[in-house]
Amino acid sequence: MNRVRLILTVITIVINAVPVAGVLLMYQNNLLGLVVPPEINTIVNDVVVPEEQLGGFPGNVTFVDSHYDTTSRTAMLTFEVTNPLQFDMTVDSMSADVRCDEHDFPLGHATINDPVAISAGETAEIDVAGTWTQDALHHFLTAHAGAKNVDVELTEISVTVNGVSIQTGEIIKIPDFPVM
Amino acid sequence: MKSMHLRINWVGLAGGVTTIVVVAVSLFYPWWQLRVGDGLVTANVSPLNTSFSVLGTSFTMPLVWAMNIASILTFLVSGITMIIYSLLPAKSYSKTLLGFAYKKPLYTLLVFVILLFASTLLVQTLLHFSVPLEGSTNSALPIPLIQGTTVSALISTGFQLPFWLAIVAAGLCIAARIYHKRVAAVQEQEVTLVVATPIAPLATEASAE
Repeated sequence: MNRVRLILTVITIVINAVPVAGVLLMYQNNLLGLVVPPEINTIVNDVVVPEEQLGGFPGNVTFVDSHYDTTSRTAMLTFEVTNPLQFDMTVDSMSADVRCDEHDFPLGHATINDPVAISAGETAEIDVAGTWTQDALHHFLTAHAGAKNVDVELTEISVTVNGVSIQTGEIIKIPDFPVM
Repeated sequence: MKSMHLRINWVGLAGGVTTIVVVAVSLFYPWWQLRVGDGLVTANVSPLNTSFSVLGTSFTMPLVWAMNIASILTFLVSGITMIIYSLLPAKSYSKTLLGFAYKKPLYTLLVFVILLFASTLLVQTLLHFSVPLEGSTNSALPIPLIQGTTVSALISTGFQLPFWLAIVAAGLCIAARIYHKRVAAVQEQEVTLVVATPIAPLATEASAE
């Protein structure tokens, strides 16, 4: 019986010590590698974009075009968004408040209708739709009488990418936005 | 017939087989999984097979991998030992086999739960975002991305099938230890009967003389 106990004790020691000792021997010249595998360095170096390359939140967002449908009072903004990551991403939703740049007057709310998939390192166009409020139309008639275009800004921007929600205090200014 | 039935510790046999099944299932499914966002970060945590995936890149830590191998071997040896014991519960070395085998799944389970609880508590304390042990929560991530920007993500966690299977295996192994007393008691009765049987013919022979 003592022999059985001895055998079981030896087995316990061997199955616990051998794998750990083996890995320790393999990484004896690089002990940090025991807990930091090369893949983490790959993620840090290749996948995560340096901040200077990211260039601030709106740095990857370029305003392309806009048009206004008078019947539905809907403004359509087109942006080019670049995915700087080595990882495909999907813009699930985006929303922002639209304000008059000159008077800081709230004009409406802008959102995207459908999710947009952007492959790693690629650029895609995102259409953002916004509807002017009655107050906004009144503001255009009183404060911007006769003007066809108004400088607006997007504030309180919220973007959900791959289930991660990003809310920024950054402001995107859009000059000469068609309002009539 | 009943004593024949009790010569095998059926509870131990079930415990041993379940322990080996836990190893097989754990190679494909984690005991506990954490998901951040829509596939941005995934942690598959298990004493037998732990791996991580960040932005589509999968990796495991060599030290954790070695410990996983040790746990796999421990579970396998425990399961096999439990099966051998269960088939031969009356042998002189059976109690030693049982004492070795029944504790391993329980200890592994306890250490796993304690470490998991401690890890989530540590993350909550140091990084100030909550990671539930089971369920989903929307947590603000401590990423110093850009000033004035907050990043929050849906964090989903949950215990998976192998964890519940490991609880069953540990329970069966403990039950086998308790059931062993009954098997041993029947064995003692049988030994008493075997020892008592030759006395009767001797007595008969003596009276005939």
